[in-house]
Amino acid sequence: MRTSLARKAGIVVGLLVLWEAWTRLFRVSPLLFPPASAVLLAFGRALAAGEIPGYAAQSLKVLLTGMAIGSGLALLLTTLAVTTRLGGELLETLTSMFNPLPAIALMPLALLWFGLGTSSLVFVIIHSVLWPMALNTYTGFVTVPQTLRRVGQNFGLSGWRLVAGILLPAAFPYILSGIKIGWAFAWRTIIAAEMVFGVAGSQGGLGWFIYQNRFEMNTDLVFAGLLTVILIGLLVEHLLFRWLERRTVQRWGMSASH
Amino acid sequence: MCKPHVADGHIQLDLLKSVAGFLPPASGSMELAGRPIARPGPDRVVVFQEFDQLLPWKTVFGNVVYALRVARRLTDGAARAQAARFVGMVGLERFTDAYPHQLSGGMKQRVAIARSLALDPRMLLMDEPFASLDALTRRRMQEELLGIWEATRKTLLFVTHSIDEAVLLGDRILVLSPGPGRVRRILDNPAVGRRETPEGQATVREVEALLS
Repeated sequence: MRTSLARKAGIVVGLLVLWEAWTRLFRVSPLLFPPASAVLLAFGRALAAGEIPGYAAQSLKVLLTGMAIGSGLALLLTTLAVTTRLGGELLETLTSMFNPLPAIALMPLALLWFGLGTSSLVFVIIHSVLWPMALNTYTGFVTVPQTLRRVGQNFGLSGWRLVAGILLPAAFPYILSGIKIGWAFAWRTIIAAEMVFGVAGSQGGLGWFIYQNRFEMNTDLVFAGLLTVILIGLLVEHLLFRWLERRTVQRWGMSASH
Repeated sequence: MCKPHVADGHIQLDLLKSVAGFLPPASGSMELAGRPIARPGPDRVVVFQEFDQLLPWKTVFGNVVYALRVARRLTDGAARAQAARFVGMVGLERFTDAYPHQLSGGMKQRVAIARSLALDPRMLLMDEPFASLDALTRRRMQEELLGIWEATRKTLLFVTHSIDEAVLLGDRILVLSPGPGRVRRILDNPAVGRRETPEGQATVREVEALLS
């Protein structure tokens, strides 16, 4: 584990060195492909100036808003789906219809309905997280062992108290993997969507940062923006979610078997 | 105390499920102390055969405390005191902070028994709770259960396919027959806890004769 991590770090350093050497040896135009050192410097400057953190915070704020609403809706749909037959069929139909539809494809409609602004972004994010999260949560609910449901009923739980007390924690491995998939979709979607929608209000997001710097030919900052997208993705997926898994699913000895 | 009027179509496990309120009787009615049984409730707590009856996201202690808080609506302090007593009764003091996946099958069943007893039900329903255990553990658990029963004197409905287990644990033995399921005989067992005595052996032979 540790040596594998060290080797991977070595690969990254190796790639950076190759990149630097290539751009310098072949005198590649920094407007097209700036050297690694220039990108890292630009990244450092934009980070220190609070520019990148501001844009990143804006992206994350919109993304979290969308994810919160999306998971709320997913929970509502799945609760309906496990309590009524029609709800189950509704959920299955909706997820099979909308799951294959890329969120980006909804942007023209979002523009039409909500105009240029945060609501359009939130709408697109909701679409990208709602279906995978609903599908996973539903699978989780359905696979809760009957014994556990009966234990809950035996304690006198029913309705939403049974859902909150027994089904939600018992389905947590599936819900967590739904959150992971939802995050992965949402993070990719928000960056793309921000390039189309541009600035909403006073502060734009990372996608806008990248787009705007391309427009001004600050190619080093374009790369710095991409680097930020990668770094935040890695941090969330490998630190936050790993940590959450260790604290919950692993500690409880539970796992989602897909 | 419990009067099952089951007509037909039910065998052992269905009888227990009906008493628990998971399954309405095909005909007739179920009453506990004069009140009809309509739904599952903490006055009839079930110990299942399956090991997955513990909440995997709670510790041994947490499982008992949670049950007390939800089913008996105790305050946290009261629930913790009560839980400590019953976890101690089944000899798991050293494992209070362990999660269910860290326990052996026998320990899981002990926790389930502690959790059920802590709820202080009118009736404890046991659905072959020792069937998935190895022979030695099963033997030890039967003896522990006898000890607990003598200490608490709870009404216990214990479903088993083992004649030995029935004669060891039951002071009254209901012999059921399948298709259509009915109570074939109700035996008083004077030899409860003393299966190896001549009296016990006589009960064993009697049940064997009824089933053959």
